[in-house]
Amino acid sequence: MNELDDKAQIEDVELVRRARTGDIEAFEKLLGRHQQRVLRVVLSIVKEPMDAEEVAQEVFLTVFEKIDKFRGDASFTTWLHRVAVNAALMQRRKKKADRSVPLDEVMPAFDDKGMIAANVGDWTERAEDPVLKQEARAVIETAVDKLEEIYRTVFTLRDIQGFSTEETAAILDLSIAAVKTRLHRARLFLRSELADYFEKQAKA
Amino acid sequence: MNGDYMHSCQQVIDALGEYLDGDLSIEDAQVFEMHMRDCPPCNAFLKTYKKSGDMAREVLCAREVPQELQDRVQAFLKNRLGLNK
Repeated sequence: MNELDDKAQIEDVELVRRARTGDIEAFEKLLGRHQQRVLRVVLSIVKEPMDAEEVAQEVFLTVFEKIDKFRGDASFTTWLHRVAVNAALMQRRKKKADRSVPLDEVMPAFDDKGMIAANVGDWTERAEDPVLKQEARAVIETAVDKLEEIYRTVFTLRDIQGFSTEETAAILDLSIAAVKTRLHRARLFLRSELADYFEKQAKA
Repeated sequence: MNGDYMHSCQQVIDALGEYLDGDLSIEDAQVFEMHMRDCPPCNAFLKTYKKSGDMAREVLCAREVPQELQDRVQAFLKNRLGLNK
């Protein structure tokens, strides 16, 4: 954690302390510091702004009602995002049929000694082509949407929203090892979907 | 942990995420890099794995929270909780 994070956390502790005594101004400041990031996280899980609004309202009400019970065992950020992620996941489960796909075939073929037994194309230069790059955006969006929830949530928090491995583990109540494994699986899936796309383009 | 376990492509690919996140020990990272130098398929896999992550971040981080959503949440907080903004 860097110095800025440390400073922010100390300021949070002070604002939480004041908010717990019923200081509305402190609560307002506290929410103001986190609102944008919470909305981003919620929106990345539920997608529709209307749903995100409903979830955000529920989250901020919950936090307002329960702030006096927040004991500071975790950081306020972790606690707030845990409430937000859980509420967003509930909303998503309610609204969306699960369209996830199993994560097989995300690894290359290996021989019996564990050596790669197939061609692995390097499409990184092709990915710079403006037209293909634009089309790949949809491939990425669809791929993330197809990820099972346990992978997608870790990927979103860690790689997109920039939480550390430790923070992601704390928010989702997972072990560090589980976060790393799920993140790797999610990244492998994304790579595999993009590889399929660019390899098809190369043959076209 | 030492790098002995990273002789096969499969083991190296299992460690890709940890390598990119800087979670491998210095010794393991050196073995990883040696394998990468000598193994074009793994090298291509690493490059495309990293590129996929960079592309996803570029696409998904650029998503802005719509101003209308921010305004509506702010209005809710003001009405419901008596906040002033």
